[in-house]
Amino acid sequence: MSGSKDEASAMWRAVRRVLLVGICLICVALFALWRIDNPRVTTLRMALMDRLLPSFEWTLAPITGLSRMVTDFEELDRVYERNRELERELQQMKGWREAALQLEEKNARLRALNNVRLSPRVSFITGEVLTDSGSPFRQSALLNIGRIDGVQDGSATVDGLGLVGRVSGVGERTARVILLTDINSNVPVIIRPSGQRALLAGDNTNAPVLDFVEDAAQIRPGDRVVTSGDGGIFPSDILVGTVATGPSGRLRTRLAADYRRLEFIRVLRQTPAEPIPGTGDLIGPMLPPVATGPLAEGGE
Amino acid sequence: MSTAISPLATLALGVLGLAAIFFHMLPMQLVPGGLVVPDILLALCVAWVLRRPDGAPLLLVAALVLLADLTQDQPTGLWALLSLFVVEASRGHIEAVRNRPFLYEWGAFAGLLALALVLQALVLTVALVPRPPLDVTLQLFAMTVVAYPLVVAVLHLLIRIRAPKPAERSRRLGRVA
Repeated sequence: MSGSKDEASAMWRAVRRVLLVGICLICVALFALWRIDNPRVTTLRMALMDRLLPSFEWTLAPITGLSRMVTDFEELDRVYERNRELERELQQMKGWREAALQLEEKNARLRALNNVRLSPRVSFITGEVLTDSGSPFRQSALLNIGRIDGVQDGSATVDGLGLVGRVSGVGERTARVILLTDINSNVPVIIRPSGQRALLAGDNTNAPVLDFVEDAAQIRPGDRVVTSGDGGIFPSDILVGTVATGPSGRLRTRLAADYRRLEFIRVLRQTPAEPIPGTGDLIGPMLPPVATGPLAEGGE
Repeated sequence: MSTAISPLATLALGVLGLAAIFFHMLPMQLVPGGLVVPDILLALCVAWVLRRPDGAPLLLVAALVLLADLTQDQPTGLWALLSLFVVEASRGHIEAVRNRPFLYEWGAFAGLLALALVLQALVLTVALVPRPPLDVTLQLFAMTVVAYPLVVAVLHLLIRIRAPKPAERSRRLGRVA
């Protein structure tokens, strides 16, 4: 009896070893696939999240609410101070608002004079942040809107105030947003009012770095940073934040979007500008083949 | 190593593992610079395997780490493979751990985790993938090592997942041999 038991145990162990090797191979294959063909794995991942999230959603809501309540409670002691600060700011804003209205009017008049056509219209859809799908090393969030809502890969996302990130990975009902603070995030920006172009590169800190600045001397802390629209992925002139100088003297950006309370995120839908196919025929109409035929033959 | 699988303990690990994955997905890490959340799933699997190997079948552990890997935004498959390696290596020295104080078990876990993180960094470098910053990796290591005794305590006190007592062990040894 003990002999047959030993045999069974040996067989079980062999099966187990094969299983282990098989699983390891699957993992290695997944990693290789991810390295070679990232978009395909992203699609797979988003399909999985599509399946998984609806079953999680009802449990997510109370816990997310609870954790938000805790953070809200922590900020309660600062409320009074903040309120006064906000009132002061509001006073200033009223002045600015008046100025903005006047400028808008003036702008409209000038545009009418110039007959300017504005860039393609930008519309948006709003989604709720469901989960933080990042690992400790990545900064990303998952939204509850997806392809059926019209979200496209690469779209810009903003909260009420400023740019939040870029959509990277769209499922049927979910979409992943890579935040500006992620190390893979690079966004072309313009710094106003000096008009310098730069690249906003995330580095896992609260304030992303401004890279490739042409002339850093022209930039002062407090300057506004807006998207430049270079590369055609983001619409131009979305507020990103303000310039700040890091402790080591590097130029960084204090983001306008409030990352601590990302709850609803707008995904911008940009109607793309019509592409211009082919090169222009500047030289004139093509000559008919009859005219060149005899010449070419005669040359030979 | 016995071949029998305890259904109840397996089910419990499955539920707790899903809960750990779910915990990792909560939107609490949106702001960088905060505390790194420890890899609770790994600590849970290792603690479980050392206490109730009959309740942590290979397939379940593999499914859990793969699912965790796919729900998180990281190089697919790599961390799952390394997690599996840590769990299986722990499974290999169950006897050594059981006869020694808890400190030994803790140290072994820390060593295996450090090895896995070094391997991860190596593979990422070889595959030309940008490596995560060193301080984040170190934080993850420290947090997970600190979290391990807590996980063990919760398992021991609340869920009563404990290694068999010496008396039971000798009886079982007699039965198997």
